[in-house]
Amino acid sequence: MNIYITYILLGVLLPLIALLYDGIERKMTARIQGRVGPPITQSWLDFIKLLTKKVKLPEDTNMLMLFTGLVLMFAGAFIPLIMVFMRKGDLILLMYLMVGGTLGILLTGLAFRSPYSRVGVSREMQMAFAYEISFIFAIVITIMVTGCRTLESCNVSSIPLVKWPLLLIPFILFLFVAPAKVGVVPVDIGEAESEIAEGPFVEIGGRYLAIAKLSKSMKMLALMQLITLLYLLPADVTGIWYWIYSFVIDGVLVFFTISVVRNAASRIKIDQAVKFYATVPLTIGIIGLVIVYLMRGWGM
Amino acid sequence: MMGFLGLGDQWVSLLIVFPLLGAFLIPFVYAFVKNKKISAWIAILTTGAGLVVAIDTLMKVVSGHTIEVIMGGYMPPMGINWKVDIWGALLTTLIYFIGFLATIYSMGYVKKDKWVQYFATMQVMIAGAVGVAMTGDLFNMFVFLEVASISAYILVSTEPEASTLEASFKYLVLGSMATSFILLGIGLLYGAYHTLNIYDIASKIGAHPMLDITAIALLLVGLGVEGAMFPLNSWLPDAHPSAPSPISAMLSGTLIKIGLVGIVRVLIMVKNTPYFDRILFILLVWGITTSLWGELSALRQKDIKRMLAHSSSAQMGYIVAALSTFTPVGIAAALMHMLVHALSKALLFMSAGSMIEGRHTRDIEGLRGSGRNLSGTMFGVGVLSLVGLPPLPGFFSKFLILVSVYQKWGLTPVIFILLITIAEVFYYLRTTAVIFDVGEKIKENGYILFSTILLGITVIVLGFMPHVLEHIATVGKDTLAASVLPYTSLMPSGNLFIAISWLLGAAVICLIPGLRIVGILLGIGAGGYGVYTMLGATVPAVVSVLAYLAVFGIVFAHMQGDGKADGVKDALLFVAFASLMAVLNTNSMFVVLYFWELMSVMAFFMFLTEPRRAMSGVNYSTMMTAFSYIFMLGIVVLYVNTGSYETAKLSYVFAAILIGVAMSLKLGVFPFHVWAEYGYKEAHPVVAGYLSGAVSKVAFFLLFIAAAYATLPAKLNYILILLAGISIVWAGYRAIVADDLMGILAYSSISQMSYVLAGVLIGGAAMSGAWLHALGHAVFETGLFIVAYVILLIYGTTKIDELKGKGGVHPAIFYLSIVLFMSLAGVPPLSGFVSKWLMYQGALDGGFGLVAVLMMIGSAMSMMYGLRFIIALSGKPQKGGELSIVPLTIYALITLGLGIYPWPFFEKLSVALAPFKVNVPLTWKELVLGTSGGGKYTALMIITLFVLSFILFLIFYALSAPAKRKGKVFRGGTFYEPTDENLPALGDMLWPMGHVGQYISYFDTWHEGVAVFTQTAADVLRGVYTGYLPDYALYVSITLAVVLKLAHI
Repeated sequence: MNIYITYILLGVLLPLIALLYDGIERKMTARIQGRVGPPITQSWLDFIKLLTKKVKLPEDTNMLMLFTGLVLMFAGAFIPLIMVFMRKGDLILLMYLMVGGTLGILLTGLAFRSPYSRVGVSREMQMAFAYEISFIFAIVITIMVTGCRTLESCNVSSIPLVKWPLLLIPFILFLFVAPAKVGVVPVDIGEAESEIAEGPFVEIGGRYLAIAKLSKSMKMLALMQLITLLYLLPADVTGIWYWIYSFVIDGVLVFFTISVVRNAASRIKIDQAVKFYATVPLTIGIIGLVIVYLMRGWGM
Repeated sequence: MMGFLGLGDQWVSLLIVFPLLGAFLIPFVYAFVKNKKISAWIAILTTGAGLVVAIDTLMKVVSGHTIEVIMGGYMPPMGINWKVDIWGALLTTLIYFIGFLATIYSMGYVKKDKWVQYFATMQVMIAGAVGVAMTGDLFNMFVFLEVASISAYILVSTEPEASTLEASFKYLVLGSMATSFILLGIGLLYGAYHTLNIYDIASKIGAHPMLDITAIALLLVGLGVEGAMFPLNSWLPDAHPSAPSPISAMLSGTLIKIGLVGIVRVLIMVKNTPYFDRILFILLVWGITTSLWGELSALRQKDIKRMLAHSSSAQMGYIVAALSTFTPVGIAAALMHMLVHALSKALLFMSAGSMIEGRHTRDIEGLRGSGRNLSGTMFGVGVLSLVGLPPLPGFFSKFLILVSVYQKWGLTPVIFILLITIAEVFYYLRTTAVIFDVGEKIKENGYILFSTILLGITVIVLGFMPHVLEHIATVGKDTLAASVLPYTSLMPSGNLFIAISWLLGAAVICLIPGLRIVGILLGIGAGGYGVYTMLGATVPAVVSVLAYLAVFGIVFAHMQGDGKADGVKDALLFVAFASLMAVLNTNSMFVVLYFWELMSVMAFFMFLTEPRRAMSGVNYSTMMTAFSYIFMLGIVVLYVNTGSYETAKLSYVFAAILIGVAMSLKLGVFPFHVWAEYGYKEAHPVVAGYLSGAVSKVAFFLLFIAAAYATLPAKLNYILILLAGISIVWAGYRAIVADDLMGILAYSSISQMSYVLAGVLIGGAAMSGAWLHALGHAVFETGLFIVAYVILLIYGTTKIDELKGKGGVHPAIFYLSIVLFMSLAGVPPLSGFVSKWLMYQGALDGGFGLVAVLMMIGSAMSMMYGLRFIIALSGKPQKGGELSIVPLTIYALITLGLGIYPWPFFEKLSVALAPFKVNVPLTWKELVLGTSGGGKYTALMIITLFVLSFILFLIFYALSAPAKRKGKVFRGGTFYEPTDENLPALGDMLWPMGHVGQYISYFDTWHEGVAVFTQTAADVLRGVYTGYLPDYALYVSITLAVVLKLAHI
């Protein structure tokens, strides 16, 4: 198919699919909690509803900051989403775009002169820093083990079977990162609903909230697909099988990293979170690096 | 040239006759005419006449003609003769010059009722000193030494108080011990060789080795007392301060030099003996020990004259160390430093005396603020000259000392000397900072000012006439300029000369109140012209563009400042920029060193323009000087081992290593980044912006040169890269938890330049990334410093606690700051991302996995601290600082443009780097298509996707319901009005981060530990000066025993 058609098609379909996954996640959560839960198309309906709502923003809102934040948030989720499904693009660029997305959240929060949003921003900032460390270690170890830098070539199947266990450590690190990045309990400290009333998003509604939620869902899907691509694609699959396999595995990952975690734990405090992420995943990452260096030293 | 007076050699005796005549006439005339003023004028007359003859003599000697005068027709070795070599002629001239000025000075300093005895005694002292310098006969030397010393003892207690009398007495006892030893030594030599003539003994010595050595030891120790060598100089800290300032100037400036000249005569005597080298080695150790004790003792002094006295003894140590090489360069160095020290120390005593007279105290704290006048300025000149900073003559003499000592004795003594000098820099700069503080003005006396200013002008002029220094030091042979001291290459030529002249002119104009804006615009234009003349695809040209971008923005924004000190800052900045251009535009490391040091001087004075930042300036300059000494050492090593200062010769690895390490330290590599606290954080934003934006780029340039010409050993390379990586994260952390906007920017600067450092050393793609990041840093970091300056202008503070909910700026400035911040954080598609991405590729290519991780963590940190900065700005918009919008817009456009389309820069860069055989993938093809496994930065794709997202965003927007802005934030059951107290400034909300890394902040105080250790050590060392005379006498005896023992081994 023409490459441009593919891009446009993906550009339209992927956000919808992301929202669908959000709905799937909500269904899974509900079932774990013993409820029936909303239909999986609920997120689509929520999105449309939000678009139709009139919004009132406080009069001293910094509009340019709000826009910049939302655009960054959106782009930081949308572009990676396209990149991971098209399997095109640089790995480090991808990471930076996602970081840009986090920056978007922070800027959005800063647009309001509300203490909730400010606290939310400071906590989100510290959380982001904490899990970024793990993210960085995971990416760098992956690059060093597989020798790939782009999404086209990064694939478990590109390295000999004997090296696969090495990728276990980055995979585990990603599992740490996933709930934090997507923002679910126990580490959704930036947007703690019951404590700081959604933090950075406390004052937005209507279409802005729609964008924010859409970005969150896209981010989740992009992250899941990234994990799939890097660690869970045992053969270089292409064509229709690639898509089917991706979506299935993404769903599985969503279940394990998001739904289960979310329902099993309660929210932790910011200092506990920072301390945890600054020690446990950091140690794992350092061990991983050391192992990689040793392997290199032994000529592997 | 021969003398201008056209007299024969015999008339050299006038140099003794004139002062003795004066000494006779003064009381004689007074007995008849009871006018004390006549005493002064007689003294001035005789000293002035002597000065003229002395200069004539010097000119004769410098033309190669050693003057020999035989007394009364009795031929030596039986008869007494004058033998005036360069040492004698130079010292005599110095004695007369300083004596002349001191005489005039005394008219304003000493009480009139004492004038008769004072001036008469001073004339006798001059006569005695000159006699020692000129004579060729040992006993004659002894007699004149006694004459001079006794006059000195008397003059010390001109003001008879308990302390001065005690000082005089100590001087008397120890001096008498010294002359007794000298007499004993002379007696031994006469008994053995039946001659008293120095040159005759030189030819006969050797027949009785044991006796010779004993006599030599006695002579050395005796002369050492007079020459202020440790521990024989215990009289000095009491005597020099107690004397009136003009006498202190003479004592420190000239009298201790006669001890030195005596030592030279001794060396002449033993030149051909087998133990000559051992004696030289003893002198080396002795000199360095003296310097160590002198500088550390001076460090702890609170009395300004005691400090200067200890410093004199330390400087004598340096001269003796240079003398101990006994090579042509070493002797030239000793001569030059004798000249420079005499003039500088006399200047220091004279200007200090003026301030002491004004405040009636010798305590440094009591003198606080007494220096904002001509006396203080002259003191500053003296300090710079003594410490060895351009543009004053001390630079040349100190450098020569280092070269000569390294040539003969190797690396270790030079390292000792440099370490000791760091203490000297510290206490002199600290004193300067104190006297330049704000304080009560003092009255200055006309006579005092006249002498001080004349001496000061002499010192300044000599700094710009190094050929005179060379001519004297090489006795007319002028062998230095061609090789070891190529001062002729310091003169810029061609278009650069024009540009620099315009810059200096702009600096002067900035000092004229009312014309400052004109000066600034002229300076910006001149700077631009200078960069334009250098333009081309060469490395210096690229660096000059970087530096100019930073300076342009800073100075442009500074036009809004209207403080009194601002014009001075601009002037200093332009002079510094002129030096910067000179550094970039030369092939000679000597020129680089000179102008680099000049830049440091300018930076120090920038700190002094604001009293409350002065001490930070002292700390910063001291640390930077310590690093500069490593740099200087590298250049000395380069010259001595390759015979040239050419940059290309840096392939001599050790020199390149020293220079590379020095520059890494100046860029703030861990753990030596602690200077950022003083140099960036505590500085005025404009000064910090200049230092961080422009100076760091030149340090980067020099580092690049060192790394490019020499292949650094792999282990060292890796250690430096690792340290740079640690710096990135360490400084990033400090920036996150900083409590001041300037603190954030300070550590951010260190962090970002550590990226550049790591990139240069890693090479490959990281090299091109490093260069782009240097450009980016010059742009976004300087831009943020400009914003900090705007905050300072509007709110008067940059502390985050004090800004709290306020801190808003003009909306345009705010948004531009956001753009610059995003580039700092590395958000695509800005240039900060491209440069960081390239560096990651390079790091991963080279297998530096840990460093890549550190870099990425640093990037996450930069987002955090950048955001803190932005948050501090996000208060209600305020007017103010609008002029900054111009440079900030330019910066934002540059960083955005280079982020989207960086290839033109890389193409120019690849041409510039080609001569260095640096292999970097710079072309568009290589970047995008990549090598196997390499990453790809497809800016086009990113932009397309960004645009696509934006369009989608707009679609949502259009499809959705409208939003209204109305009402206030609702919280806690009521409408919320954000005030300073309840809108958190995020400072204390980052406490989890602070908690996690508290050891980091604690570790960064290690330099204070070093300072405390040094001061404690200094206190222990100077405990030697117990104040108890029998102890001092014991020291003299012990020294004699030690010297004897060492000589006999």
